[in-house]
Order: sequence, then C-alpha cells, then structure tokens
Amino acid sequence: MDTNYTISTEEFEIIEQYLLSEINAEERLAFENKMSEDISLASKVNEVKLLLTGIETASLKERLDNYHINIKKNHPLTSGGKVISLQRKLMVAASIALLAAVSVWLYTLKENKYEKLYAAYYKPDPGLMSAMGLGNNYLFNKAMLDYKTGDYKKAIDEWGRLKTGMPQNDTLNYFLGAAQQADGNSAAAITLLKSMASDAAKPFYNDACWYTGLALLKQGNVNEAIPYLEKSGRPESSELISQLK
Amino acid sequence: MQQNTRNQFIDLQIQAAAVLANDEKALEALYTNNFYKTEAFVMANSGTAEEAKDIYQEAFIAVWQNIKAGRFVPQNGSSLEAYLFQIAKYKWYDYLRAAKKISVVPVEDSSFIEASYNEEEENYIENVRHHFKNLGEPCRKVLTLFYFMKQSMSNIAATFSWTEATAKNNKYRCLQRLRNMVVGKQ
Repeated sequence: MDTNYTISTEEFEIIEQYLLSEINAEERLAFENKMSEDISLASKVNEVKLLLTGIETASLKERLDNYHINIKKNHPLTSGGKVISLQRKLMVAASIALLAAVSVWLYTLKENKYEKLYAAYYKPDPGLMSAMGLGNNYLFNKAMLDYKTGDYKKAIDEWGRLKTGMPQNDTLNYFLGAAQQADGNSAAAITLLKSMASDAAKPFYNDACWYTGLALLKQGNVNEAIPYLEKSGRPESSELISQLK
Repeated sequence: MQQNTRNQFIDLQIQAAAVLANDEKALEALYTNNFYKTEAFVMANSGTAEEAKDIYQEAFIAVWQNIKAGRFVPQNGSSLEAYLFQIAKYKWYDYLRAAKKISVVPVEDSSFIEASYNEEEENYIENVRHHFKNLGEPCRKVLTLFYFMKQSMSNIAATFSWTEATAKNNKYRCLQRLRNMVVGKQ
C-alpha cells in the first residue's frame, strides 16, 4: 500500500465528510467523479477509511476488555466442558486422520507379520470422557483432551509432569502408558502398563493386559505377549492368538 | 410461529443497527451473553481460558467489522449470536492448525468468514490499533469520543472546555500524529 504522500487538513476534512456521509447527494457525486479522475485521491480515501476503522477497532477493544472484567466479576467460576458434541466431531476427525495414517503406514510397511498384526489390532484406548475440573484433576483432563485429539507428545509431557507428584496413581500410569504406546514408544509403554497388568485387582487390569501384550507383539516378543493377550478377556484376543501360534 | 420468526427478524435488524451505531448496551449484551459458549468450546478443545478470551474478542471484532462493512446482512432465520460463535469456532480451529496442535480440521463452510479487508489493509488496521495505544490520553479520548461514541464536536469541546474550533483542530492534529506513526513518518 503506497502511503507516500501527505494528506492536508482540508483533504482530511472532505474525505471524512464523505466517509461519514456528511455531504449531500450532489457533493457526493462531485467527489466521486473527482476520485475516479484522481487515483491518489482514491487511495487517500481508502487509507483514511482504514485509519478510522483502526481507531474504532482500538476503542472497541478497550471496551471489550472492560466487558470482560464485568463478566469475571459477575461469574467468577468458569463453565466448560459442555460442548461435547463438537469435541466428538474433532475426535472423529482425529480418528479418521489416524486411520488414514495407519493405512499409509500399513501400505509402506515391510513384510513384518507382527507389526502388521499389531497395526490391525491396536486401537488407542479411547480415553476418559472428562468434565473440566480444578487443580490436578484439571491438568489431568487437559492432557486427556490432548491425548484424545491425537497430540500424544503433549499429553505425555503433561501427564509426565503430574506423575512426579503422584508416581503410584494407577489411572495416571495407565494413560501415560497409553499415550506412550500411541506415540510409538513401545518400551516406555510396556514399563508403565506391565505394572498394571500384573495385579488383577488394579483398575484397567484387562485393558493393561491387552495393550501390554500388543506392545510386546510389536517388539516381536511373541512368547511373552501371548499370556498377556490371554488375560485381557478381549473378544478379539483368541483370534489374534490363533494367528500367532 | 410465522409471527415469531418475523419478530425475531425485526429484533435482529434492530440489534445489527445498534451494533453498527456502537450502542454500548447492545455491544456489552452481545459480548456478555455469548462468551461462555465460546469459552466452553475452546476449553473442550485443548484451549485455556486466556486463549478463549483472545479468540472470542478477535471473533467479536470480526463480526463488528463485517457488520460495518456490510458483509453481514440480517436475514430471516440468521442470528448474530450464531454468527459470532461460528466465527469464533473457525478462528479457534485455524489457531490450532497454525499451532500444529491438530492436523485435521472439521470441514465447514468458511465463506462467512471472508474478511472485510485484504491482508495489506488488515496490516494497516493492526498498525493503527497498535499505535493508538501510544497516543497521549487526550488524543485517545478525542478520537474515541468522535469516531467511536459518535459525539458531536460541540459536545467534545465542552468536555475539554475548549472552543469548538480548537476541538476540531486538536482532532485533526491527533489524526495526523496517529497516521504519521502508522506510515512511519516520525
């Protein structure tokens, strides 16, 4: 945008009157004729229009900040987590992306039977439906959203930080393992999930067995994988095991 | 039902006209009544409350600019609230995509969001917004009273205990100063 000219006070005045419709029809027509003959006048008019829009926008922004302070005063608690159907849309989109990624991967994969089986049977744990809460719960749920939208690295990072404060939390360990697995880090996933898969009284026991078995399978460790798959109670486990034997 | 739709349509026209005139009550009501929906949406989609506020304000400004530029024309069955939420949603997905937080964005019609200005013009407006903050308090006040609050020169003169001629001169001086800052002639 060429602004290499000066706009005199008189020019400002007439341009402004034109833009704010403060001139009559006859004057307007005359001014528009002049604009069509004088390109520099036309660009000055456009520039002043932007200048005035900018001023109004800046004034509006100051007001919006004030409105916002009032909102927070009147409703100190934030809502959140209500728009589940929209989030689902995003999840569906993420799943489609994942599916597409898996198909491409499958196609380019070398003839590795176990990895192929892994790809066919592994689906990331769908995660927990969460209502936004406060404190650690809030941080946990925030990471859950990253996990569910496919940002596994961010979820690992966030859950990893939470884990230092509560290393024995089963739910946290399980989902951290799930995120590591989804991100392709089988070894890290196995370490986390195995501890859950060793004790039938633990929550997520069956799921932990299933995913530990799959992670071991992906590493080619079939003999160790089978017992875990057997303990998982998954309907598809016997079908998978039959292909391994 | 027919009657109801027509009343809603008239309400929408009144509301759009009020926003066009920068009616503070209408602006604040529109802002306040719709914030939580956007906040909930952003926070359910990997965002923070602070990010929700920023996205919502930018969406609000876009709606307001589009009304001014005649891009939002009230139609039967449309609503400013829905329009605002749609733009906020679009801007949030756009932000997520730019931040590489998601790779796939739900496909939705985005023609409604086409900005009123091209990129160069957007930049100019951004510059004005930025430099406006650096103007002195009297200049900010004069320009806000005249261009945003649509007050008359005689009212503004009375506010500052100036003559009307002085008020007019000062307004142009402020405008020139702001323009010089924006086009870098200072």
